[in-house]
Amino acid sequence: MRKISIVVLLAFGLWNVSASGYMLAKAYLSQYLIEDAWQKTLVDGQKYKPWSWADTYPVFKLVFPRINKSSIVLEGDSGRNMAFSAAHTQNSGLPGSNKTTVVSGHRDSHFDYLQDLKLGDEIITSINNKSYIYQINRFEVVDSKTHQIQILNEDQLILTTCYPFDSLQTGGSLRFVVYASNIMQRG
Amino acid sequence: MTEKITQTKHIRQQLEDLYQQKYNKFSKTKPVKKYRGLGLNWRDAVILIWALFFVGLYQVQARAQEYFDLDDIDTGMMLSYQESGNNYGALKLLSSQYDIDITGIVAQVNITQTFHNDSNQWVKEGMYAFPVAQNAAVYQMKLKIGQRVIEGEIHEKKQAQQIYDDAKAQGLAASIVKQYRPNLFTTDVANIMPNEKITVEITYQQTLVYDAGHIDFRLPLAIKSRYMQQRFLAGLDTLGSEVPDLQVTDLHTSTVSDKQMRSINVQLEAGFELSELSSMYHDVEIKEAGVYQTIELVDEILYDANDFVLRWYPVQGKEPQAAMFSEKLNGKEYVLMMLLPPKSTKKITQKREVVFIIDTSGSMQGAAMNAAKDALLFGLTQIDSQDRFNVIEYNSYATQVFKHSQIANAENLDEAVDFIVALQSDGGTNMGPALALSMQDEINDDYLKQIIFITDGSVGNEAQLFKQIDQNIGQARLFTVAIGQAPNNYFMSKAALIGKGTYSNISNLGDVDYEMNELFVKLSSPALTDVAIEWGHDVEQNPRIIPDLYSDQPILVTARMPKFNPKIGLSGFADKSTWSQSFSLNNDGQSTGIAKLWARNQIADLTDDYMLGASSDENFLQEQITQIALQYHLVSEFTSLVAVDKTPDMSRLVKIQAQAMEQAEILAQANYPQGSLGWKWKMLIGLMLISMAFSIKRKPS
Repeated sequence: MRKISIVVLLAFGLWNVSASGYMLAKAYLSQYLIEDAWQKTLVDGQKYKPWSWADTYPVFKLVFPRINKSSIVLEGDSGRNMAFSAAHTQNSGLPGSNKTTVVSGHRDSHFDYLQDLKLGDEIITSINNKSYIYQINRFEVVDSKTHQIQILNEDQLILTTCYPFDSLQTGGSLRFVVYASNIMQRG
Repeated sequence: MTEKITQTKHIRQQLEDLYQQKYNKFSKTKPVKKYRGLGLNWRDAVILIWALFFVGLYQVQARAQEYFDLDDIDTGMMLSYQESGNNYGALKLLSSQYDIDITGIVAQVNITQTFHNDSNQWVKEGMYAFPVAQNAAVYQMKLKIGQRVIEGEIHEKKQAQQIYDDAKAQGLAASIVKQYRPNLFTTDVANIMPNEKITVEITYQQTLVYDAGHIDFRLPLAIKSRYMQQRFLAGLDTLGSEVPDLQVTDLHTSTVSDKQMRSINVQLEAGFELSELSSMYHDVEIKEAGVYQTIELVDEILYDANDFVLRWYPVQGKEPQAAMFSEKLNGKEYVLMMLLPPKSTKKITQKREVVFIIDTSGSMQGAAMNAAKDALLFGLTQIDSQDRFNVIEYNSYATQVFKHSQIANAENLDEAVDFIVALQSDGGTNMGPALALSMQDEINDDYLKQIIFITDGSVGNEAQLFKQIDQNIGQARLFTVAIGQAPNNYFMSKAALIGKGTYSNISNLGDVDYEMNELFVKLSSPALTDVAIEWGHDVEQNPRIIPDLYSDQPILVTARMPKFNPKIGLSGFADKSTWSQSFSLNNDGQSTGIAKLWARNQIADLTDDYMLGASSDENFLQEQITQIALQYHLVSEFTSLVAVDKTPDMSRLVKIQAQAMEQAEILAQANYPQGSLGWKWKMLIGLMLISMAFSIKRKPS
C-alpha cells in the first residue's frame, strides 16, 4: 500500500515537474528558432515559420532599451502561440499603422519584465525594416471579466500580461496593461 | 456572530431614535402594526432600506452629476467640469488626512486629500475647491496627479504672471491660485486620466475666534444637505411615498469603519489651563503631553453631518492673564502674546468724559438717522451723573452742544436731548472738524475720555483722518459705531484701532438698543487699560498700538525680536490700580506658525499704509511687502501663489493623449488573453509530491 502511494506520488510529482519544465523549455528553446525565422524575415520581408509545423510567424520585434530586454512577437494571441513567445492580437493594428497594436505575453516567462517598466520608457518596434518609437504613458490594472481592450484608430501600443506578477497560480482575471503612444518613426 | 447582531441593533436603534424624534407625534397616534408571519413591521423595512441605501451611498461618496454651484462646497472637493451641459461633477474622495497645529489662537492646518477618477472618461478640466475661513491664508499647495506633480510657489506678481503665461504658451497646466471668494480656495487641474488618482495637499494658517470664554477651531467637513438631498430624491422615487423625509445630515450611523478614509490629528498648545476641551460633533481621543494636548479622531461615522469643531475654555481668573508663545526661525525670535480678559469685569470707579459725535450728513437720511438718534439718546441714559459729556454733530460743518464737556446733570442732559431731537440730516460729510472738536479739550487726568463716533461710514479722505486721530488722540479712546448695512468697515475698524477703542457695527437697525447697551457695558468696565509690554529688546511689534482689554476679546500681540530674551514684562491699569505680570520664556522655540502670523500682520499693516497712500514712498512700501511675503512664503498684494508644473514632460504627454483619446474612435474590442503559464505552481506541486513520496519512504526505517 505504501509502495503504491509512493509510486503514485512520485509519478504525479514527476509529471508536474516535467510539465512545468516542458513549458519553460518550450518557452525558451523556441526563442532560438523564432530568432532564426525573424532574421530571415529581416532579410527579405517574407513570413517565415519558426518550425515546419508552426501556424504562426514572427511579425515584429519589441526592444526595451532602458531595461535591455526584447521580444519577438508572434502573430495571433492563441494560448499555443503565447507558450512560445509574446503574441500579437490579430484584429489589432501593427506598429506604424493608424490602429492600436496589442501584444500579450505571459507574466512568468516572456513578459516578466513588464513589471520593471517605468512611465516615460521608450519601446522600439521594428517591422518591415522600419522602427517606430513608442513612449509609455500609462499603466493600468484591469479586470478582464469586466473590461475589454479598446482598439482605437490611433497609433498606440498596448502590452498586456497577467497580474499580479508574483502570483503562483494561473487563471486570475486581473491584467496588467501598459499603454504607449508613438512618438517617432525611424528608418 | 454575537458582535454582528449587537452592531446591527445599534444601527437600527440609532435610526429608530432618529425616526422617533422626527415623527414623534405620528407614532404616538398610530401604533405600529406587526406582521406576525415575518416579525417585521413596515418601519423596520423602511429603516432597512434606508440603511442599505446609505451604505450604498457610502461607496459612491460625493459623486454627483447634477448641476451645482460653488456655494455648495462645504468641504474639500475635486470637481470635474463637463463641457456638455455646463456641469460640475465631483470625483470620488478616497481619503482625507487633516493635521492641525494650534498655538494659542492661531492654527496651522495641513490637509491631504486623495480623489479617484473612477469613470472611463477623461476629466479634461477639473478644479479642487476647499472652503477656508475668511481670515485664513493658504500658503502651500501640492498636487499629485498620477505621475505628475504640480506645486504652488510664491512669486512676485509679475514673475508669477510670466510663469503662468510661459506655461500656458507651452500648453501646460498652470494656474495662479485665486480665491473666487474670500472663503473658498480653488485651484485648477487639467487632464485627469480614467482611473487616475489625484492627491491634493494644502496648508493654511488661520486665526481663531474667541467668543464668550471659549475658542473654537472648525474644520469644514459637512456635506451640504441641499446638495446631497437633491441626489437622494432623484433615486428615491422607486421607494415610494412612505420614505420619511430624513435629512442625510441627520444621520449618525456607524456601519462602516472610515478610519483609513479619514484622520484628524490636532496638536493644541493652548497656553492656558483649560477647564474644558471637547469636540462638538465627533468622538475624539484626547491625550496630554507636556504643554500640548493631542486630539485624535476616533469617530467612525457614515457621513459627516457636521463640521469638526473643537472647543476649549481657558480657565479665567479674577485678573487678566497672559500666555506667551515663541518660535525660533532663522536666528530670530518670534513671540505671540495672548492676553485673556478675566472672568467678569467690574464697572470702573474712575470718572469718565464721554463725547458723542453724530453724523448728520445727507447720506444718513431716513431710517439711519433715526437709528443714530436712538443710539445717541440711549447713550445719554448710560452716563453717570458724575461723568462729563458733550455732543457734536457734523455734516459740512461741525456743531457742538457745549463749548466744553459738561457734568451730566438733568439740566445739561435736557439741553442735549433737545439738540439731538432737532437734528436733521443734510449736507456733506466732513469728519475732520468734528474729530478736531472732540479731541481739542485738555484731558483731565481724573477722567477717562471716550469718544463715541456714530456714522454710516461714508468717508473719502481716510488717510488724512487716520493721521489726525493718531496725532491728536492723546489719552482719549475712540469708539466707532457704524449704522446700516454697508458701512466702510475698513475705515471704522482702523480708526478704532488707532484710537485704542473698538468698533461696533449695527447692521440691523432694530438692534440699536441692544448693541448700544453692549457697547456701554464695555465702555464702563474695561478690564485693563494702557497695556504695555517690556520686551527687553527693540522689537517689531504688531499691532503697533496695543488696545485696551475688554471682557469680550483677548489681546493678541506678535513681535519679532533680534534675539532670545527670557524675561518679558507686561503691565497695565485695572481701574485705578496697576497690574503687571512678568514672563519667563523657555527657550524651546517649539511653537509653530508665530513667525508667519507676525509676517501676515506686518504685511497687513504695510498694505494698509500702501493703500492709504499715507507714506510718500510707495515703492519702498511695495518692496518691503514683497520682501516679507517672499521670505515668509505668503500671498500678498504683490505676490501670488502660482501652481508650477514640476513634471512638464509628463504633462505634455498626458495632454497629447487626452487629445488623441478624444478624437479616437473605437475600431474593435479584444479580450485580454490569459497572461500566465503557471509553470511555477506546477513545479511547486510536483516538487511537493516528490518530497512527500520520499518522506513516506523514509519514515518506517
